[in-house]
Amino acid sequence: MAVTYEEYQPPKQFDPVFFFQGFNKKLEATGTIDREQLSSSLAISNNDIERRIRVAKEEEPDKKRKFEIAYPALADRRGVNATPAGRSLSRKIWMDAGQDAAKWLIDQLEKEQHPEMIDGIAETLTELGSLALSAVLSKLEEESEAKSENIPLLDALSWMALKQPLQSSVKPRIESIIKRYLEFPSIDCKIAAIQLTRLLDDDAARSWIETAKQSADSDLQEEIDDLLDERFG
Amino acid sequence: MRLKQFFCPQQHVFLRIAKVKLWESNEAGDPPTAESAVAGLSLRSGEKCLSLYRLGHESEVAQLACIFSLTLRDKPDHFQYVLFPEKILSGCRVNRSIVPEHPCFLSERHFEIVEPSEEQLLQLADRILNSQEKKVGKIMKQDIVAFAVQHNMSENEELKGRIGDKWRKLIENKKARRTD
Repeated sequence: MAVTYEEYQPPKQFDPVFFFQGFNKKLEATGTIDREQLSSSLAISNNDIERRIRVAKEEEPDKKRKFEIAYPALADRRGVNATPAGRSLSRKIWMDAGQDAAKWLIDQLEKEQHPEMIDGIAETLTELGSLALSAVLSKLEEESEAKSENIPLLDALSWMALKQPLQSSVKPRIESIIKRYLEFPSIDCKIAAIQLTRLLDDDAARSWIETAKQSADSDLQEEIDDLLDERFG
Repeated sequence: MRLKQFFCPQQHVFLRIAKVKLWESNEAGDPPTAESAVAGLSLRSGEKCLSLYRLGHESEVAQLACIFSLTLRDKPDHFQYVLFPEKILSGCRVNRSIVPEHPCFLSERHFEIVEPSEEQLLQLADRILNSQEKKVGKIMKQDIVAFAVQHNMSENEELKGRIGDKWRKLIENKKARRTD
């Protein structure tokens, strides 16, 4: 009988960058880490792992604290926030945190009551653009029915279109959200849905706007006219 | 005429930026209540005063809407407001509050109700709702853009560095279509 030899695998070297990335992702996803597995596969001491767990856990509240401190400025329009350039600078913390910031802001949206703060969150999600796209879509896809509380998310999505072209896989997801919100009886949901056509190409946008026109009352018709004027002149 | 003005000093109107739906009947036809409308007067966390704009005449609303939206809103949206006469504020501590970093048109018209209590805000919402002279309005986004184009606001020295990219793009599109 022939002997089969396993392909030679060099011993795993400790790669601190890889270690930290994987480690933090696992910790973020599960809140736990398999210490024995890590210790044996990476040949590092339990003390070292303990230390790194401590550091990662310490960083998490620090990030949340930074978000909480930066949060009120989202609706502030004085001092440095009086100009678009100043507001962009103020949003740096959110841009740097990327997807974590988007998720945190979406969570805040569920609790926030103040209209200016809600607008501020939507504006920041719009600025985050592709960094927030996945989190916003996932949130909107969580529920099978339209929810008026989610209108600021549709609003934020609508204006992301101006920053970058959409991937083709995202288009059906957007159209599914438009359909769901157009079918919902609330006029605010219908308005948010037609605003979302801003993300689509001209033909698809026209098609959805035509669909919306069929059941449009005067308020929705006014929105449709405004959108048509903006897009097609 | 002068005498009339002397004895009947000009009544200013005050504008609060707030969603129209708070001040109008809902889709089911239920009239608004002070308890729900007060959301349009609520202070943000850490905010001490309620911002209002005092206008000499209702005709200033379009200009205020345009300058406010273009310079202080990054994401283009309709401008929604409630307008009410000065007398509604009787009994409130109202101060002129210049905001030097804002465009002059806004800064000069900016007033604040100083440290209003929740009860005062509820009373104010009730008085506005019951006022026959209140006006609730919405200026559509494209009307704001049209006003900006008509008054060449994107070239105005004071405003041009303050207009956000998204608004600027809408203004440029509108201008381009006019010249086509």
